[in-house]
Amino acid sequence: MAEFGVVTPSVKVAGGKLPTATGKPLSVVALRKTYGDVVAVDEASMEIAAGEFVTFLGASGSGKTTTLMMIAGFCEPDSGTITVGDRDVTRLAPQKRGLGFVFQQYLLFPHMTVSENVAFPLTLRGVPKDEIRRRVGETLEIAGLSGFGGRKPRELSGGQQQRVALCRALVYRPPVILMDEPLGALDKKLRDQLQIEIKAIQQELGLTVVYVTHDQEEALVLSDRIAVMRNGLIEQFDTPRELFERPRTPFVADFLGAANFLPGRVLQNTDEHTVVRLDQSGGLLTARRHELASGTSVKVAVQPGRLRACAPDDGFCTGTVETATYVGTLVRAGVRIDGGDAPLLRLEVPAGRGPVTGERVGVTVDPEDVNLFPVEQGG
Amino acid sequence: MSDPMIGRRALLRGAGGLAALAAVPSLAACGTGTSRASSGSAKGGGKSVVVRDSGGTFGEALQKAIYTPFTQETGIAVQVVNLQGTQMLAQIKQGRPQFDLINNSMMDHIKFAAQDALERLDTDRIKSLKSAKIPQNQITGHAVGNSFYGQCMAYRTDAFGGKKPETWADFWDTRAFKGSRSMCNPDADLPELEFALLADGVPMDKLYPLDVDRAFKVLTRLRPDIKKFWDSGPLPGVLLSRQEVTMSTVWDGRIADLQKQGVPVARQLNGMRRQFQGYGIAKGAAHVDAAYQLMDYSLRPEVQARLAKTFPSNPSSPVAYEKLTKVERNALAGAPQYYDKGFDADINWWIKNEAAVSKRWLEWARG
Amino acid sequence: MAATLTANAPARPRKLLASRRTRVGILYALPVVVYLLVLFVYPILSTLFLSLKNTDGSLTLHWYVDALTGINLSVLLTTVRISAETALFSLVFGFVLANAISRLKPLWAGVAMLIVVVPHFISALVRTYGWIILLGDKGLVNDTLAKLWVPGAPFQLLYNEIGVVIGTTSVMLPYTVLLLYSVMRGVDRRLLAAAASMGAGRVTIFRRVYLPLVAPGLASAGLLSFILSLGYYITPALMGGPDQTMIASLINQQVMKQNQWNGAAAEGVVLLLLTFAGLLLVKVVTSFGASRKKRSAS
Repeated sequence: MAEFGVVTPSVKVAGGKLPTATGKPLSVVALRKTYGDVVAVDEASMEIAAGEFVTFLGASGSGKTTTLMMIAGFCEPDSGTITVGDRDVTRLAPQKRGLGFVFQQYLLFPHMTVSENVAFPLTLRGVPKDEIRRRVGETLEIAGLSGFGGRKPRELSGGQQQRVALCRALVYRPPVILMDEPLGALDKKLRDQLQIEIKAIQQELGLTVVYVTHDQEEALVLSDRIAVMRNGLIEQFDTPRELFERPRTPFVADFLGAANFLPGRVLQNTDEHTVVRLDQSGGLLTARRHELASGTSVKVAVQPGRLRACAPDDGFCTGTVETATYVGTLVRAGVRIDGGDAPLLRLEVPAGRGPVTGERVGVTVDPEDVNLFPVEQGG
Repeated sequence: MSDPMIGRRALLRGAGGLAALAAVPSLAACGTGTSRASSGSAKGGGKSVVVRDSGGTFGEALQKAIYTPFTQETGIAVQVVNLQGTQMLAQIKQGRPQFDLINNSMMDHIKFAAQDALERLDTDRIKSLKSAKIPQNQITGHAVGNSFYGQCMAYRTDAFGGKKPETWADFWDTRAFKGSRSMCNPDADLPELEFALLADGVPMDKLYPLDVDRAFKVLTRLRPDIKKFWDSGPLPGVLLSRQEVTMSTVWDGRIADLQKQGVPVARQLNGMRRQFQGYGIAKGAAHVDAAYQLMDYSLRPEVQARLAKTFPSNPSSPVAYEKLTKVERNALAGAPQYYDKGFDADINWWIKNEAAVSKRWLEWARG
Repeated sequence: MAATLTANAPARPRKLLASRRTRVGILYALPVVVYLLVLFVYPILSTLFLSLKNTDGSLTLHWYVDALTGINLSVLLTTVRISAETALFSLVFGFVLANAISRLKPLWAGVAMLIVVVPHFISALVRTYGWIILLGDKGLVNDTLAKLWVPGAPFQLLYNEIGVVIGTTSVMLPYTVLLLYSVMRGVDRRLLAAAASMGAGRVTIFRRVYLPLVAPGLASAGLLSFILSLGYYITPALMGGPDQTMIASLINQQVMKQNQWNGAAAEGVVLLLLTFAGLLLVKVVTSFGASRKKRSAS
């Protein structure tokens, strides 16, 4: 498993409001969980910095929720350690970890008012009454819920309820707030709005958040770093930009960038570049330098947006435009490459200069935007 | 006279509602009450008669020993209902009783007759009265005694080291006869004041009118040793067999079963209180003729003997005992040879005093 | 970032709709109303009438005086006391049982339920015998205690209030278990996890989250067992002594033995009023709790 450097997030932390974290608010080492023969989470490791917004992104069954539940303490790992601040919490009950949790289903206490819900964690901590009132009021105000304090949860909309749940999780300033697809039950418009709100609150209060979602766009909007998960493995844990531009696995390239994949073989390496001969067209494609021996079979991954149309025979391949769909500022084009039965090469080019159906075009790409993945035996 | 009558009927109809209301919580608690075998309304064609009895194992015995052979002999179908006294009274008062012949305690028959709920009997229509030699005191204007039961003493034979309780005084003597006692609750039968008085030395023929104060005073002496007041026939047997008590009052018919089960119990018939059962015909009955026929049939000595072989009830007919084997006769507490051991309950005294004594009993028992 | 106010209910159209609905509703409700009038209101009124009527037809309160004095009053108080005890114990045991069952897998929960309910279908006599085998002087419980050298054994567990409450509680248990079980199944277990995630310990979660959520069930189960117990007389008669005589037993005696309907009617009315009082009490307690909560919230 790769090791991940900690990227200092570019978030402004509201000074003084936070208990100053001594070490990493949260680190996870070699966390493993199996259900029978199924490995739900395989040796997951990561460190999360204070004020960082980290997202576990993956399809259902990828292990993202299991990882979160182990951090929260709702499920026990087979092995590995979880450290919150300086404390090893791996075997502690959830209530002893001092974390915050926001659930997809809100899970507000139906018999309590909004204020009572938000005050609940404070009363557990023996905060004086006046202080509770002040902090509940403050928190509700931040979430735009002033005036709703006396209502019962069932009198609120889904979005409002999730805001209350958020308030309840952050009112006691836990070192880390865990969120399990908190917007999953909301419609698209509300989700977009709440994403912005959550991000704003997180930045304003300098919260450290671990977030789980299967929605790429949500992950990109919110996160400082994203852990892309598949089959219990963290495929890559990086900033959104790195994930896009330097995917470490074909899966990440495909999952986030919806990359085009072309089979080829390394022809030669120069100081700065690696040249690949494409299997189908026989054309030569120059990528930034990868540490791959010549002769290595590779998958060439290029995102549609990084491809450019050029004059025929000027690019690494030439073909015929079979489809061209105008989508606002972009034209999505499908190009049938000469000399092979490869799938259509997908391009996204700015509208206006876009190719038209039936046109013969060359396709080119900046070497920096090409990622090569060695093809494993039998793969 | 008719106005108050109508008023009373309306009341009783309303009272049916009350019974339902009062029964709501209790019914929820436990299924009880009467199981009504059928609604015996008269149907034109085939002759039939509806008889009321108290059901249970006794009811089964009656069916086997009397009703079925009666139908075979006469072709008259017999239907059975198990209504309680008050229910019968309510139906009769409404003028549409669903039953004709009533098999009930003689005490209830007197109460019914006082409320004009029974037909006056024409004894000429009951031919078997003579052949069965039913004692004259068991023939009233409205009812004829068909059997009687005794309330006597039952004890565990293994409890007293071979000693045998002989009298009610022994029942009271918890030093000589150790162990808890059980006596009947007024829910089951008349309070057992007579036994207390007998234990205190009152001679059997001087019991009535009962000295209630004295009886309760004597009962008080035994109160701490009375573990349970039984309120249903089988309970004394259960208490004896589980060794909860060493001695109990009991209905005589219940002992044979226990002995058959191998429970070491015996009866003591000295000071037994006898109460009679009998037949009456409901006022306004739809099948008076058939009712007379069934009454006549079941009073026949051979029929009474047949019943006594099936169920330990004591025929009112002395002739019936002659038709039993010696073993069968000795088993029956009502057999003529035991007659002098017991006494007949004075139902006229009890009719006058039952309500007051029952109330006083409850006050006494609750201490 | 500001939340939009969405809770402004459209009041007027709803009201209009309601009035039309009401009229149709009355039509639909008519059979029920007639049914209730005939089978509920009429019998109650006749009972009331009966309880106020003297033997000579004049109006009187003396049946009530009778019902509320002397031995009858003491029986009435016994009834209330035993009902309250039964309600309490069946609530406590019902809670524990239902709580355990609600954590079982559905199949096992079904089996456990069956075990709780089945004794209900056993005849009173057999059940009595069973209780004697279990609780008698020479019964299972006392035998075991005696073998363990528990001081004071054998204890008298039958024919006194202990016996009655054991009996009525066991009869009541299926009701409270069923009621509480359904309420507990309705509680979202994740709420408890949510509370834990905020730092609440087991006791706090139980007291501040779980208990309030099942409280309505507790109130109705307690009330149900209290009201049902008011009408008990078979179990108290089987398992108690004269000190545990219940009012239903008196009513039964008066009607069935003494043909004394008026006094029975008066006691029936008193029993009915007690039932209403129980209902009212629960209503008052819950609304008091709610209003207190509201005050503390604002």
